[in-house]
Amino acid sequence: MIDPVAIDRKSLLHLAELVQLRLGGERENVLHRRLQDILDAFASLRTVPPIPDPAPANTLALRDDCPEPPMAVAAALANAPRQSSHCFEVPRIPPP
Amino acid sequence: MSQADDALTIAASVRAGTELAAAVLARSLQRIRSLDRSLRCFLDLDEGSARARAEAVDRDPDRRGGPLAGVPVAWQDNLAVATERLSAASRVLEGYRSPFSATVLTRTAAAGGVLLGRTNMDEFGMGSSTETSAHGPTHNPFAHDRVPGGGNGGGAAAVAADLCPLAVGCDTGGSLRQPAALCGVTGLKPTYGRVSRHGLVAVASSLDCVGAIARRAADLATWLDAVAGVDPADPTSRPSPGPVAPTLPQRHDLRGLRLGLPWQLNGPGLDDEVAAGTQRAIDHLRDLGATLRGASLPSVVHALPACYLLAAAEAASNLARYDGVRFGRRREALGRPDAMTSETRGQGFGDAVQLRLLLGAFATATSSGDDWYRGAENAHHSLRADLRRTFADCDLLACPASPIPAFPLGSRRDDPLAMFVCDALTVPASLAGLPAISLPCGATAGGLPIGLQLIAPADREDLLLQVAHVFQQHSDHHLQRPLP
Repeated sequence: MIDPVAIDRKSLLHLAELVQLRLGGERENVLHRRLQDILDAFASLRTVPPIPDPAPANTLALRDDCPEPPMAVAAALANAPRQSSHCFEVPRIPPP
Repeated sequence: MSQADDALTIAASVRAGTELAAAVLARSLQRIRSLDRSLRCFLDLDEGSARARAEAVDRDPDRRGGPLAGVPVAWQDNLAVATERLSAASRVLEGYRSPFSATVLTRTAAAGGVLLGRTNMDEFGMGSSTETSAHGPTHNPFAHDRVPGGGNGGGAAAVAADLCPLAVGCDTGGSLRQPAALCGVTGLKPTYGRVSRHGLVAVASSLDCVGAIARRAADLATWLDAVAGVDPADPTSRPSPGPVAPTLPQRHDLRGLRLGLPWQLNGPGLDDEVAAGTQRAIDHLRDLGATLRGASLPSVVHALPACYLLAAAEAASNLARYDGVRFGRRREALGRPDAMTSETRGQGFGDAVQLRLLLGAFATATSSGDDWYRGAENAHHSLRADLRRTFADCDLLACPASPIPAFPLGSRRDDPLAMFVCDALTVPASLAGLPAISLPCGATAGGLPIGLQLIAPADREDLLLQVAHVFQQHSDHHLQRPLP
């Protein structure tokens, strides 16, 4: 028997804060219920044991990680809609 | 577009000079004007830009002589095309235009393809019905009251309705194969890394694969040859083992092919008509010479939750960039800057995305989530080991692409678990990074398409597409069209 994990409202708001979401109203209740349903349904994942000899994470034969010269500043900024002083220029963020 | 227009037929006629790319495009646009008001496959189609691209092909002898000469190509709304809108079907990217183009689309165009317009999808590909799109759902051409599947339901429905012969998109957990199955067209997910993802909106980086949907496997082989291979802008892209399309004529039957049938993917939980239709297709493959072998993938029972948990964890990280500063829409809020970000994301993301972000945060940033994440990784390793063992005795695996045919709009929208189940048969290949294809293989008594899925070892797109091509040379399921 797997112990259930209950997400209370405080935990839900903590998760929302971590991913920078403002929840509220009926939507908060709906998401709370659905997240709990998923955790209940996925609970068996907690019991999956490791296999004795797992293949390396990349069994897909990714190409070698070869060091290369870093991208030139001009190339890095090539797609910036606006730029100044070797930086992307973004909309002003409201002051604290 | 007439109903006879498939990608290779179009390309042959444009290369031969019997038809202009602009004329092909005009037929496509005419059909879109006629049908897409009710299907809603395309988003903000800019006919002028598409016409300019077609005329550019007609003026360029290299592109006019290319393998995709004059072929109108739709792209999923999570692939970038310079100066075009890009929203991933989300309000959070409202008004955003990309300053550059995805490598896969640049290569598609260099091969002569005419970029037509972007297609509807589930928001950030999170869904199996295209109902989570901020633009509203796409309708299945075979039954307008039913879903086309998802995430790339717009692309699948567009090909099924002959609005275009080729639709490029992304398959993370089945987003090309499942809608292809529900819409009666052919959908290919290549091996992880075979096609560049530069210019794709990242969601689950260890799973995302760029692929395509077309009428026939032969169309997809030609497209794959045009776009596969290393891209310096995508460090996960890899050298292509060789062209596929020239190998298709080498095989006329399936003698010598060992076709594995994992019982876990071919029985439990399948709709009766899907099970029967898939079995008929497997019998047909046997009649063409394949040897059928029983197979078992015990760990597949955990594949669906593992895939969703890992995808959610990666999405929580990848989608952090939509903060109201760097991209798209911003919602002003009083107080600290992080209030603006939370407000922007709270209003910009739909429920399906928010749910996955919360799940991802739970898995990666809480002590109790560690058990889930570790278990998902264990399941991931076990599945890969099972598949490696199975492919020692089999050349390909076969099973349905979707456990159910197209379901009514709205019937699963508010039940994430019921929606997840739609991808139960496609996530194993996604988790293992293997190439897989969905082929039309029949229909229900009510006329809804059924899709057969074939899965190959890594980098064996040649075998996968050869077998699919032989099947389509000896059947006409892929030629079935919805009633006008």
